[in-house]
Amino acid sequence: MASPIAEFFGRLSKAHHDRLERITGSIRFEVVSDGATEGWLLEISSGNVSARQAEGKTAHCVIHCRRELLERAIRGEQNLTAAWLSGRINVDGRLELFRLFERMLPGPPTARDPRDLVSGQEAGHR
Amino acid sequence: MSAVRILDGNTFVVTDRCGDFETSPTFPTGLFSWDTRFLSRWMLRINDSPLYALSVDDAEYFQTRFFLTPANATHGFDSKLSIIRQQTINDCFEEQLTIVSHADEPLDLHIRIDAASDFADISTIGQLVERKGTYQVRIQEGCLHLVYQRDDFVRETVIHCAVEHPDCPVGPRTELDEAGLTITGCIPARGTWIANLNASMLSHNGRTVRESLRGLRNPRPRLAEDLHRWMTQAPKLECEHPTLHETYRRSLIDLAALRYTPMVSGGLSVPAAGLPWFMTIFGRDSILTSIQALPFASELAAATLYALSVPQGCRLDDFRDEEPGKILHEFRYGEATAFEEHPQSPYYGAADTTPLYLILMDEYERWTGDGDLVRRFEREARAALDWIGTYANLMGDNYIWYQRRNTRNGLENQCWKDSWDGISYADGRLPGFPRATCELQGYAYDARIRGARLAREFWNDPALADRLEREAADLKERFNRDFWVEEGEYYALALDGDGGKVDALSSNIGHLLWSGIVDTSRAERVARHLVGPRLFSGWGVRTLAEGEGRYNPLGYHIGTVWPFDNSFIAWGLRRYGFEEEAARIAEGIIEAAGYFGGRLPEAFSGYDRKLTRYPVDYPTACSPQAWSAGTPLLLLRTLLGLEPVGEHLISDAALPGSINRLALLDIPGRWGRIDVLAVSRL
Repeated sequence: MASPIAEFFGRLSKAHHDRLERITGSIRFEVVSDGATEGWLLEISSGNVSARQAEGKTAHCVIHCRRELLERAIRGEQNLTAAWLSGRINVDGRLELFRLFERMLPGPPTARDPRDLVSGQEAGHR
Repeated sequence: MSAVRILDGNTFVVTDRCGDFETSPTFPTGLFSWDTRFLSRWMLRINDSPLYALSVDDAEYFQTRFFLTPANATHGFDSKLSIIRQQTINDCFEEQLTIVSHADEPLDLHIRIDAASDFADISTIGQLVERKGTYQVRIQEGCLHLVYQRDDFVRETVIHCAVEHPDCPVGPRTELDEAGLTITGCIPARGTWIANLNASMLSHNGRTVRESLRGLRNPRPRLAEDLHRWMTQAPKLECEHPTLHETYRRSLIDLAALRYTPMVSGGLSVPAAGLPWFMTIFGRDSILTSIQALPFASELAAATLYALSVPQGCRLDDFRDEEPGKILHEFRYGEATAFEEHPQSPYYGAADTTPLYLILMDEYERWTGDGDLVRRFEREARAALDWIGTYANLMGDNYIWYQRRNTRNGLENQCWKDSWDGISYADGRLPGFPRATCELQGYAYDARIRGARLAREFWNDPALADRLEREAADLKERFNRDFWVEEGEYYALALDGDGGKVDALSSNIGHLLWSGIVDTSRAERVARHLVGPRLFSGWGVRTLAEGEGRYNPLGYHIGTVWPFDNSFIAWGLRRYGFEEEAARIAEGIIEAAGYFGGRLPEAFSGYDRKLTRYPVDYPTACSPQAWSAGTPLLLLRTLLGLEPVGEHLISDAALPGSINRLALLDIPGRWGRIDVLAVSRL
């Protein structure tokens, strides 16, 4: 079975991202777990993302973090910006690529639509 | 305490008149960078004596020179020594301490500098916060290291000292200890010592905070050259008014000082909101300041649009009050944000930033002709328009409403009057939630009108333009019905959650004139209120009218006068043809600036001008503050009646009596550069 990280990167590769249409660049992830490092390379071009496992490739931006943290971020349970500010993630190179990647992650699973809050509805406001 | 502040972006120092600082429980004194205090104690003593300040030169915003002499119990001061203390911010904190002896004989000197840091997060100063990290002090390789660490979050100050002694072969001895450093020795007759002290501010990996967050080393322009370039590129003002000239100059320097390069802005600099509390990007402050400064420095607007586009909201997040399409309120870099105790990573709890973002984009293009930027951020602008019609439309009536989801430490009021009591009924009661303040509807109206122009001219989407114009017309009609308070003849401050009018008379009605949502038939009544005795203090328009339940001339959003508020009100009055009223407000604010050395504070008291004769300082106001520094610029635009029309700049000046003649030379824009001259005709 594919890891949650592999699945997430796979999903990113299949979709078109309007937000990335003017962006060209690559992000290398160094994901650390049990002392071993797993490398991923994300290449962004014209709104498309291609992801593959790769060690030691040069990239415009290198993100170094623990596997458990990245998996939580992929589930929307860990805000990546806060993790970066607190030093749990190291970013080298073009920061805007990290910030754009961060924007592709889901929000907290328990988050509410403000319109539902006002109308008191559980869901299905729209 | 009279504070001396020097700054460079979000790195700044607040000292006393001698260049010293020690921890104050309530006011942020010390050395700060990226929202963390890196030095909380920095005290100079010579032969155990405190120092006496002869004068202070703070002509440059990034450098201050203190001329000192040792204080002496009997004579007031000791004239045998002169001490020049030059403090500079340039990524790190540098102090050059020059000791000059005027004695004919050698003197034994014991120079002591106490240094310590509490590494406080600026957003928690004044609160009792139990620190969760550990402190460490060590001396290593000739440097004093002060370290704070909480898990992977590391902040470190590294202090180094080197002494030059040009007059004699044997110099003084420098010794570091855990509480600072001591320089001892015998200074020769008429000799000089120069101690170069340096405090670097580091994050984990021993890199500077900027380098470690940015990931890159960014070469920065030399500050003195950069300020010179900034000043020479700005239009030249010519006038005979006693304070306007100095106010204009001060504004330009303060805006230069408050420029700050956030992590994502393509290396461009945006206006940070204000010293000392708000040295970061605030969506509202950065946008409104950029609008004020458009005729003078349009680069601020381009940077602000860039810096706010990348972190535009893209998902639902209750803690951060984030929704797709929403423009952020505030970004912070300190410990409380990093550990998610505070939501500013970034926080989105503002209902006005999103329409204001669209207004800035349109106004920017009208001045500069930079259609590429409008095309570049089309997706973001459309998402912002969508937010106005969806997530902001809480009640399904196409008004912008707000109600925080973060009830722990989110903002109750998500408009510019964001203190807890900023929005009230005339009798002083506070309304329930959600709330729809009136100026939000004005901004939403204006954003649709402007969005329609952008859609038609740049996005090739006439259908969207038509829809936005229909929605705007409908909004205007309903707004004029639902918000109008018949008995008082003004617009209500807000609607409450039941659709009832929050009926206080407030300065917000002036913003409605700026937005154009006011029915022409009602504009005169609104204008009359704005310059009437309940709202107009003689210096400016109060945030809340005298006589309202919560009115307090020293209340932050309930009675004080805010210069920025007045600049938009004056502009709004001109939009509806009230030249005299606009000029009266502009004149009052410019005269007030004269009492503050040309530097308008964030707010001053709402006392009647006839009562106090001078504008009374609001106790903890930020200064310099970006949108206060921007105020004289927008007032100049208003007095000169500057409007870009097509490829041309139109001027229709209406000067107050105290300004006979006004010339603004080299106004930059899509027309190149143009001079405007005006003589009084009011």
